This record gives sequence, structure tokens and C-alpha cells, in this order.
Amino acid sequence: MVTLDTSYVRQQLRAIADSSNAVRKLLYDTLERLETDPSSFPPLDSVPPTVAARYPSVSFRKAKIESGRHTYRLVFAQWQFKDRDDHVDVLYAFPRRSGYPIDWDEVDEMLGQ
Amino acid sequence: MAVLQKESIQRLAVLRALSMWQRGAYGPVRLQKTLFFADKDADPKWRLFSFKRWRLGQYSDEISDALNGLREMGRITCWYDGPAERLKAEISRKAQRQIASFFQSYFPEWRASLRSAFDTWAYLNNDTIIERAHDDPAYKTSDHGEVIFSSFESQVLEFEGMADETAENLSDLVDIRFQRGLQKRLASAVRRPAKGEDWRTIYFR
Repeated sequence: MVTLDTSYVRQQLRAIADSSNAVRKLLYDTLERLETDPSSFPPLDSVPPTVAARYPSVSFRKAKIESGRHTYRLVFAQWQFKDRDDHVDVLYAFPRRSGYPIDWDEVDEMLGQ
Repeated sequence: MAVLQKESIQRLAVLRALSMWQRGAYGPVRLQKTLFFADKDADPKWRLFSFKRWRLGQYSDEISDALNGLREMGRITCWYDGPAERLKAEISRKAQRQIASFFQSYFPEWRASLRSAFDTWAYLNNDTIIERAHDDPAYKTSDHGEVIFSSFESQVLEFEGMADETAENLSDLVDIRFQRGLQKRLASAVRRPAKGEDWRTIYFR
């Protein structure tokens, strides 16, 4: 079983879980899938090659949570080890309108900043 | 709907231009001139950068801003190779193809004139570049500091037919806060033990 660490985005995930019951269910399903099969999520293409080269055992991936007007993205690093199961660090969780740039004001608002 | 900010389009344009040099662009002057002549010959309504007359010819603050942003997020590397620095785009082949395809689909005139400007200016020596830039009518007919032409006005553009996924990828590729945050958190995560947590209890009890 993959170990999952969401401590970087604790506050954001709490806010996402509280946004609606449908989103709460989708978040649960997403975290469960991250724990069982993180490789099934699409890769994040926007990582600079220099960063990817510095962390060769890491795959960068993203997950979408979409329900009606609520749309969120999770970005995570999947670490692969020779002697143990994979580990996942969720690095980002933020609201995002599909097809739009990240609205950092909205992200800050979500965190109460 | 797919949307990109003007600032992102400008950074993508700089990356597009920089990735045309096999070993990186030798100094910012040739990059500035290549992008100036690409814009000069493109559709005047959709010029990507504003240029003014400056000492070394036509110069754009927007290109300098884009270069600073790209360097800050690790999208370009600079190193000294003889008397000037080389500027090299740090993007995957997949991202290069995505950027090229974006300009081909939505800024076809600019893409064609960039190719032509690159063929003319990319590998001239600096003295020749500056001499020819000073001979250009756009330089001769303007005063020092005067704006030669301006970039398009909108701060945000909608792109019909572009997939949401593509717009998000292109935008994230050149989002300083996203890229810096990602790298900072990774650097921190690599130092921590890979321990799991009981997320069900934390978020769903």
C-alpha cells in the first residue's frame, strides 16, 4: 500500500472537503485512489527538466476534482523506492476553473490570507 | 472555455524563440532583435511585445520581464560562454511541441515571421546586429525612449477550440508562483521521512 502524506495541504483539503457533500465524496475517492494506484493519474507536464533530473525517482502527477461549479486540482509527487512501497506527497490543492489560469487570489482566499 | 493571460503568452513566446537556438541564444540582444522583427512583420493588432528605441536598437521591457520571470522559475538557464551569456530554454520536448502548436494555431503570422526573423538575425555577430538594427527605419524615425509599437491590449485572451487541459498546461508551465512553490515543497519533502498518515480520520471522521 502506498503511504500518503497530505500535510502540505491540510488546510486546503479541509476546505475542499467542506465545500459540498458531492465534492467530499470525490475527494475521498481521489485520496483512496492515490493510496492504491497513484500511477493511474496523468503526469504533470509542466515540471522543468532540470527539476525532473534532480529528482529521478519522483513522478509528478495531477488529479482533478470536479462537481458542478466546484473544480479543484491536486498536484502530487510520487516517490518510488527499491525496498518499499511508493510514497505520495500532495504538494498542492487549489480551486481552479477549467481551462483558466490558477487564480491565486482565490487560492489565498481559500486559506483565509 | 480556454483562457490565457497576456503575461503567460509573452513568456511562452520567449520560450518558443529561445528553444529555436540549438545551444541557447548568445546574449539577450539577438533575442530582442529576433522578437522585434518577428512582431514588426506580424499582424499589427496582435503584436506580442511593446518595443521602444534604445541604445542598442529596439528594446522591449516586456521581454526583459519575461526573461526575469522565466529565470526565477527555472525555465531558462544562463551561463557565460566567452564575452556574453547564453540563454537556454529548459522545457521538455513535449512542452516544446505544445508551445509550437499553440503559436501555429493561434498566432500563425507571428510564427511565420519569427521563423524568418530567426533565419536573418539569430546567428549574426553582435556588431552586425546592432549596426543593422540602427539602420532600420523604425529606429531612424524614432527618438530615444520613444515607443516604436505596442503589444496587444487585452490582459486576458480566450482561445476558441483549445482544450481546457492544454490551456491549463500552458499556463502552469510559466506560472511563477506555481513553479516556485512546487520546487520549494519538493526540496522540503525530500528531506522528510516518507511517512503515511491516517487521512480518513483527519478529513472524514
